Amino acid sequence: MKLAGILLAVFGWLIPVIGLTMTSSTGARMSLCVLGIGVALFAILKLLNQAHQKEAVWRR
Amino acid sequence: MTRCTWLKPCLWAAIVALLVCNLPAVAQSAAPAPAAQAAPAPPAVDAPLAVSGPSSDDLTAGDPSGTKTGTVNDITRSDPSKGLTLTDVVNQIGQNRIGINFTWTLVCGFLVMFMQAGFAIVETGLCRAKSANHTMMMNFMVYGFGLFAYWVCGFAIQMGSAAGTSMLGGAAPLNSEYAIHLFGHDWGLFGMKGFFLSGSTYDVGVMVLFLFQMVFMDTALTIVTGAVAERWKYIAFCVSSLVLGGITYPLFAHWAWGGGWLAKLGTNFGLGAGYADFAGSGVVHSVGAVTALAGALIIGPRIGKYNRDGSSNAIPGHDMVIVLTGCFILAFGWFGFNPGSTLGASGALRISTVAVDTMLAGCTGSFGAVLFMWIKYGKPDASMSGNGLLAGLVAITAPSGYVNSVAACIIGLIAGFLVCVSVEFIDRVLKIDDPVGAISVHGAGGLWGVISVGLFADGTNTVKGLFYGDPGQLVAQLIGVATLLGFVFPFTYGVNWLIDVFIGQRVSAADELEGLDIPEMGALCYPEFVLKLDTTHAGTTQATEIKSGLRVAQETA
Repeated sequence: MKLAGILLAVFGWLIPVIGLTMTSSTGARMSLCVLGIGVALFAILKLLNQAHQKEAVWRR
Repeated sequence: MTRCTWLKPCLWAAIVALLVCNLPAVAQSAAPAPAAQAAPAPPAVDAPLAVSGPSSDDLTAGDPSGTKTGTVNDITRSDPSKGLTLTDVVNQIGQNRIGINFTWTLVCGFLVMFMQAGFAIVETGLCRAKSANHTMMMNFMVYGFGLFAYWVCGFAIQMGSAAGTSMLGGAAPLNSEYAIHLFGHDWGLFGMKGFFLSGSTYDVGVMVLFLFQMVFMDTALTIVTGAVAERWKYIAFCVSSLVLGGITYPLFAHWAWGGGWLAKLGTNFGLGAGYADFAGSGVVHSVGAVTALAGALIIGPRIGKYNRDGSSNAIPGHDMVIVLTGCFILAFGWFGFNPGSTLGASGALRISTVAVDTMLAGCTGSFGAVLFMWIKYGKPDASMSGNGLLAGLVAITAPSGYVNSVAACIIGLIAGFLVCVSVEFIDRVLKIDDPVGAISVHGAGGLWGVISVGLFADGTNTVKGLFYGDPGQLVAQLIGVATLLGFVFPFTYGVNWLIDVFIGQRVSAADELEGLDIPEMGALCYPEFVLKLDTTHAGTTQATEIKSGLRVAQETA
């Protein structure tokens, strides 16, 4: 789950970066940026954090 | 005589009169034009100039009014036997310009270095007294570890191709970069000149750049120590700081400030002026914050912070006096952080605007936090007020060179609200323990600062944001945000995960409960004070269970 979170975060970065080379429309690029940031935040704050919370010291 | 007979003589007289009157003009126009005066020959640049300053007798008499000090006598002669030449004068002008810029940049760098003291006492004051020595020592030694790693390789990675900094004389030796060619564009990845500041980078301009950039790097490093205070092993802190200062921070900083691919988004993809970050909301504060987040996730919360049901317990700091004093020190140092990022005062008079924007954003940031806490909880909280001031300063760091004072106030006010919301979200929803609120102040504030460039930049300093007609700039800023979240965070998480595997990041439960001063540092910060026991139910219960577990493990071993 942690690895999935990290890889999804990286994917969230690649969405707008690769999107730069696929379209020259400012609106499309902005949408891809928002999508990519959303994916990265979900990966870090939900997937990765949840994986760490399962083994948190206060659960032991 | 009839009328016609006197008319003819009159006409002839008139004709003769006209001819006589215009003779001089005709003579003048007919006369050959005098030869055009030859343009004066330009002065020979190496010929001695016929100027003199006060005599030695004048100087010996003293100069109470200052009119005899700082004259032509003080210009350096390249050849004293020849005397003062035009070349000497012009060279002196260039030296003066660069000298002013060197002095400005170095003094601002000294101010930023002093911010280390501010961060140290803010973090220590927000932690418990039993770990105060450890917290102070992390902030004290992060200066040395960061500086060393940056000297070894960090500066080279970040600024190895930064030649062209005209404010500091050009820094021409910094002229090597590794780039890859993809999709028809060059993507600069890291610099390759300046390792150990040796070879041709033993250069006065490069030294100024090194000092100024180093203190910025150290700010990023010190952010991490606050988020994982009271449970971070000192040895793990040392290794993590070396890597952050030597590799992680310089990598992103090169992309943004060293001529890398983020800075070239404008020229390569038509996105405004490329990723713009005047003084480092993204480069410094957000990099520090995402590393702090990675550390906080890997290391976990303090014992006693959360109950079994997931509810959070407040663990107050031990000294609000030094917390708010530290915030003032940081606000003072920020006058070096933002205005100093012009890298000069000669030809960069915008430093005044940058300084005022910085002040205003810090002010409204504290207003936002005070208002939020006062309205929600009925009292203005001191620690959140300090965090609000810092959040405003963090947020204005990126746009300070590009916005007007109204925008600065708005940016700071929003940052003040944002930090309060973020602290509660991270603590209660995400259940991530951050004793000083570093992730919120520098992460939420930093990312908001990066985005605000794309909104509020008014075009008076090359960058124009969405509200002034350039949506492409906002796209460039958002790509920077995506890079921070989707590259820098995974990279730094991986580094710290490896440190956890090979060294271990977290101290033992017994050490944590005792306080890190004795187990890690060997001495209490306040040896004459009787420290309060941890009386939170969760802390006591968890401590008992953990100690029991330890005792059982030892008995069965």
